[in-house]
Amino acid sequence: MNRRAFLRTLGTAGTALATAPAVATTLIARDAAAASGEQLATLYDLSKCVGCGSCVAACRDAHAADYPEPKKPFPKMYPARVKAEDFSDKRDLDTRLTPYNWLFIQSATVSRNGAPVTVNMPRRCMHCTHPPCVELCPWGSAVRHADGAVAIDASICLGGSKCRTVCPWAIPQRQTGVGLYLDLLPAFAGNGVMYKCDRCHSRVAAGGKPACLEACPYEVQTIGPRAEIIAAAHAMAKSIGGFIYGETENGGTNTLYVSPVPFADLNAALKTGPGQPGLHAAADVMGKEQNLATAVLMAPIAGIAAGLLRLAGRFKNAAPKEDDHA
Amino acid sequence: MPDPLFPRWQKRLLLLAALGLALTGMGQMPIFSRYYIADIPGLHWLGDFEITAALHLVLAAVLVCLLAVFATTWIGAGANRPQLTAAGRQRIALYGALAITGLVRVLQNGSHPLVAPMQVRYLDWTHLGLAMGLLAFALVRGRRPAVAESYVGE
Repeated sequence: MNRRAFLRTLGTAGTALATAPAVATTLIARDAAAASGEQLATLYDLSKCVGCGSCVAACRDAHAADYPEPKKPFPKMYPARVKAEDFSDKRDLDTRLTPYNWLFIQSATVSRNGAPVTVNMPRRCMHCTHPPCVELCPWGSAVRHADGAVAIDASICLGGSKCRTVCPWAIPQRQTGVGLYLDLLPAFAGNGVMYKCDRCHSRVAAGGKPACLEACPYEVQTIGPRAEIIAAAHAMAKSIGGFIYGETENGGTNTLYVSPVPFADLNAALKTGPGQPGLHAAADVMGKEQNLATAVLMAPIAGIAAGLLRLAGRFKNAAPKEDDHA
Repeated sequence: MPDPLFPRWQKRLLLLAALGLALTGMGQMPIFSRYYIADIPGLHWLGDFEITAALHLVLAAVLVCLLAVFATTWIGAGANRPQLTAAGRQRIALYGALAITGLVRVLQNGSHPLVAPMQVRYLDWTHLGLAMGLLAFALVRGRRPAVAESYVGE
């Protein structure tokens, strides 16, 4: 088989792939688990949140044992561009996400129908249905559990912060001077451990609820199968003439917000920056790779087809010789 | 004269894909930015995870397709099948295991996770270890032929 025939075979396989969406969908259907009810999602009714901070305090209590205790002084790192990130002296900081503060209240005041409206928003990990932090982590330390909770295993995280780079909201936060990298190559690889909300995975796995949800005196947050939560979000939005965030952002998250004002307005009014995520229309990071992933899964089939065609060509070419010998 | 079983251009394409996969695979770790390599003019893309991840998948599709072509033609060649050398068998084992762990990782990112969340790390480490193994193999035994010298298929 020559180059042209090989490429033609690949083209044929590609066409077959394009005309067989059911096969491709079966192979890499991205939303089956989320739609099956396996994944749990939470819903925030932002019209109820007064920003009292009960959820923030409850989160701190529930995760006190999970917070880092870094060793100082930090190892000198090479090259010099690698900076230490240290929040161990700012453990009480609650105006942003830090390794010691996995949930904070964000507030924005916007004009709605000529009147100012202040909206308070508990902000933490969005727990994406296809989290780029998990799917792109090269070390397997970020995981998405079957119930939809996304967590980082502090015992093996090297603190490279790729998860923060690929997260549309830059949620995970780094603490230097702690973790596995200290036992490996502290000067040349790693820089600590990344921390973020794990939606109280162990509590939920034991039949409980996230600490922030339980502590809220205004019942701002509810939890349930994602399909039910989406339906509830739509019903809530319809009843108050509100807006939904999280259903489609980054391809869908397991945290949904319903607000009485548009999220674009809130986003414009928010103070954003490190540890202070926005409410922008986040594109689907992993969705962009879906077609390529499908191509990888179909590649063996295309290869087998090309190989069979080559064998057929060889047999065809060899046949006259056999006749000559007869 | 039948077509060669393993055309030279396909073997070169396989080598190119393998080298590209090694580069983009390393790019999945945050090292190119850390060590100023992405600062070199023309190499900025090495520090962009979205680009390196997409390229890794493209090159993986090429590599897996070629491996399937080679396997199919080798198995289907019957009595004319060239005899593998020890280096050939080692090469097949390394490439095959790398391809399988890679395919499982792709499935993992879809809705057909085959590995439990807390076990994915072992899959990733195996994939990384195999890549390191293939690199060591290429350095030490890479020039040894994969098939017996008596085979004159090309």
